[in-house]
Amino acid sequence: MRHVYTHGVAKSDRTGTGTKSVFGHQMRFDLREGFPLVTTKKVHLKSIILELLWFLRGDGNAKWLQERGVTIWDEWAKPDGDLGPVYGVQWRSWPTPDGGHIDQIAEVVKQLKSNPDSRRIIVSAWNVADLPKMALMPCPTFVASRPFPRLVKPCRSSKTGRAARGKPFPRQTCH
Amino acid sequence: MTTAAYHTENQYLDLIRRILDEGVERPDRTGTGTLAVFGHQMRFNLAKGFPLLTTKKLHYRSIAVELLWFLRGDTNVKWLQENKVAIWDEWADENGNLGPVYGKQWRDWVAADGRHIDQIAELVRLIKQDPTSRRQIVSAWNVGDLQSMKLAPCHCLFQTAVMGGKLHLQLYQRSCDVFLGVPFNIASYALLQMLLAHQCDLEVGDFVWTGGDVHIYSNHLEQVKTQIARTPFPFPQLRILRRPESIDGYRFEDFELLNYEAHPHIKGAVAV
Repeated sequence: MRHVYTHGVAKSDRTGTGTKSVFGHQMRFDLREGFPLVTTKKVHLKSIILELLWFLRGDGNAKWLQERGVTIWDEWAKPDGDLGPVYGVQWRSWPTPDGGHIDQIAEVVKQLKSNPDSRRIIVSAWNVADLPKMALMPCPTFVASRPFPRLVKPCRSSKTGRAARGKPFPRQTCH
Repeated sequence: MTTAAYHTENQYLDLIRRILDEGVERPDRTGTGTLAVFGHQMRFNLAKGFPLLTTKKLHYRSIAVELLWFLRGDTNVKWLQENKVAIWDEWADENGNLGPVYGKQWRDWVAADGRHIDQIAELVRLIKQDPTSRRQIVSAWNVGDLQSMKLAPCHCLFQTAVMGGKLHLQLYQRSCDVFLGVPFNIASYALLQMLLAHQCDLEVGDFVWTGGDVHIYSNHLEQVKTQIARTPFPFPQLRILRRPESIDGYRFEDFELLNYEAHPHIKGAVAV
């Protein structure tokens, strides 16, 4: 936040609010030292967990979230809850031109178990063909993980991260 | 010419040192063995020079010709061979084909409903018409096509941004052969960034390189030790002599590399 505040360039944006921005940044958290839930302001963990489970369901409709009291996706949803082929859909059933579907998450689990030294353990939500159909384009564009001896290291490349709200809880806040 | 107090090429030499210090020994797909770290970032201000490494001589011509080949949307090595570039030969089939690799995905991503998407044309359009967009992304990671590619994309995805009249570009590279590949990749994307800025009347800003599995092959260890003992020269400059109608119109002769002073080339075997 200090870096953006000090070095950020004023920039207009799609939402019309205006931002201060820098381009390109990286942070690293050792998960053995604790779960990186920001403590300098209270974060609503329940929404984060339920949203992740919703992604893992391969769900592209906000209804399942609403039934559990999570409203973070509501503003982008159609009246019937539909969000188009967003994260969960791309993670679990990326459509291919030959009519097939690829479950990227199952593939990652398989690779981590059977081929842990692979450098191709990647999940992408950036399906170029499906972008126009998504209610909101992917902000965390993809995740690469890479096991070292007894460690799994995910590295997330987030397309846009908002320093004030986005980073601790990117999905609902990035556009 | 004097060498600046901190030359940004030192970021590359420091990355080598980091891997030598912290790297984990790890077998790999090619059977060679690597020392590896996960996750790294470097930043090069293109206004201060073209980031073509100087601590070993690089074959700039191959880098520029390969980029033009990507921009052609080409995935057959024939055009490269005609232009005397052999870097893709070992992965090509008997007809020169590589499957739907970079050029195909950049210029002709095929959708499940049969549409064809030209990501580069769309990127240029966005930079010109919607410069504050945060969706200026080109991805080569087409999950449905990975099986048919001879080599899965190493440089998977890049993003541009216009801030303060400058065009910045960040690359995400999933698998990074630090000694052989990374110096090529840095120069290649820096050139792409210059072409995009040139087409869109913008100044060049930072090139940000982000790596995933960042490794040194075990048969490159002596070479990198030689390289880190060297002191960088100032980066060269790259001039673009002509502005074609579109990003498709550039030729190798349109680029002029000036003041490239480099230490001697260091040989190292490619892991296929």
